[in-house]
Amino acid sequence: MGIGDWEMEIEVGRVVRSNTTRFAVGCQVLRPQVPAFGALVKVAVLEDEVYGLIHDVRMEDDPFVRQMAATDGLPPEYIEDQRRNRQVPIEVGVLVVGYRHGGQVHHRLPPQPPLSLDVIHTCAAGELVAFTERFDYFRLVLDNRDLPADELLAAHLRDAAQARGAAAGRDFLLDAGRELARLLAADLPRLDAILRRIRP
Amino acid sequence: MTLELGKVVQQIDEMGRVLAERAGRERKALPAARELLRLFAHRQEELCQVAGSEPGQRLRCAAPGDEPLDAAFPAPPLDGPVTLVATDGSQIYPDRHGLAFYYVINVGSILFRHGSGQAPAVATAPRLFYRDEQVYPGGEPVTGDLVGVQRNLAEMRTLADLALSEPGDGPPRLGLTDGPLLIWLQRAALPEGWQERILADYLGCLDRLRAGRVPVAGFVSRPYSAEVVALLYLAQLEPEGRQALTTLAETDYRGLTDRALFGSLAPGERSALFVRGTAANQDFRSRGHEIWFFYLNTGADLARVEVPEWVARQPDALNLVQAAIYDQCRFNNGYPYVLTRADEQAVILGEEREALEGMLVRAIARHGLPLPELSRKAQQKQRARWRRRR
Repeated sequence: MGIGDWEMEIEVGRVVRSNTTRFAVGCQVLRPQVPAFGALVKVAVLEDEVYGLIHDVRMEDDPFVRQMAATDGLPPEYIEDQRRNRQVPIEVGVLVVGYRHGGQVHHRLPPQPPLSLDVIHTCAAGELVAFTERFDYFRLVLDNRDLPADELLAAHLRDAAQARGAAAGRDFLLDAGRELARLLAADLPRLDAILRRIRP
Repeated sequence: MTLELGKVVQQIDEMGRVLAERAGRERKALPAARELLRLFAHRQEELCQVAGSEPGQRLRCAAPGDEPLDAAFPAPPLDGPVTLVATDGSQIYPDRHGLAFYYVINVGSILFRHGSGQAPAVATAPRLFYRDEQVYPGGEPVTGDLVGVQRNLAEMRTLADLALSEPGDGPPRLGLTDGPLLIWLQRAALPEGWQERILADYLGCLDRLRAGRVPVAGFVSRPYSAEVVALLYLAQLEPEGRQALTTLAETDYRGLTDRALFGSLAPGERSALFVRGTAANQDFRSRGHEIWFFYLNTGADLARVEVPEWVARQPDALNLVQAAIYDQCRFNNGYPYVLTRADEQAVILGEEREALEGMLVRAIARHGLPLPELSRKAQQKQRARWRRRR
């Protein structure tokens, strides 16, 4: 995410389906940096706010799009029509990593998932820093062996470090590395792979 | 209970044989027909007389335009920006076994600014018809035929409105519809007075387009008409033979289409112009909108393109029609992209119809009526077919 975007909460899209651990968001167009892999996003659920990490950005297709993709010299009007007007949305997968209730951030699964059509926003820098002051949510990420969980956590930690600025970001990554060493003591190759991805 | 495929095996095989036989007959007749096209290429005056004669009208022969019959015109380049407008419609037909006696016409449209780099504007205009005079015109229940022609009219009206809403001093505009411009209004199938009224409204749209200088064309994919074939066949007969002939089905040219006749056009090329031979063209002619046509190789198909006479006689407009349609077909498997998208907008899917009827049931209940239900016949069909629908 560019530094300029850190102060803004940008709308990503709306929830199309959800359960307690994950939800999917539909959005119409890719904008610069939104949605980005590893970004922390949030959605209001009644009194609470549910936090999640974007773990997947996927373009849906249909036979019409596939045929166009194989057509040489396609003029821009056709491409814009397919992207903006046809209902083949971009689907964003979000992994739930915590929630906020009464001002307090919890690194555990929320009592209720978001509802269909709830709006998802990115978190601005201050909120990302606040969410990552503790590391209790690491397990919620690392346990998902069907996702690129290690890449996801590394991308997210690099974001969180960047949000803190150079010096504080470096300290943050060292602290995060120590927590990972504790959690993955029994799986040194995996630990090594993640540490290499977040090395300052 | 079901379609027992075992019982149709033999019929399928026989059908394959018959189709192959028919194709063989057409292959044999085609060289002779093409030879006639060459032979009569410059005898327009003679052919006009044949087409206008009593047998010519009986066989719905096309009449030639001014160009040599066997000419082929390459697609002109599509230079500069062009604004294309296309519409297409779909409907929910009235069903007396349904929840209520009503029908829906949905017109999809697209405004495509060729050369702009912009996303086109797409829209739909759904309309429900449920008032007494709509569903019981002339006191009788509305028929599918009447819904069909009302749909044709709605498509043309939307096309004219949309095309004329664009500034006349901007890029050239072009309106495109799916299917013939020469809509088929069967007087007998429509209630008293409706044929005249719908035709007048439809021709009124063409009046507005002509006044606004917006060329309009109808695109007919895989046409099966044989109006030029009929003309050529009739022309080569002796006068007595012409009088005796009642249908091409009695001749060697049975099943031969204009599409096959012009099958040697190269991609982008159009045939010479002809005038449609259908009797209904008389009504269009009397209002200055006689329908002409040419065949076009779209790159993957041979289509018939219909235009009013005022487009056919205006070289710039005619070139625009050919160039723009061919350009649209290049990127869409030989069929105009804007028509695919207009259809996609218009189509009413089964689940959308179910959602609409759910809303209808709730609206009826809100107004204090007992909940409507399907007819007993429709209910029982649904129950009996349930297992096969899963």
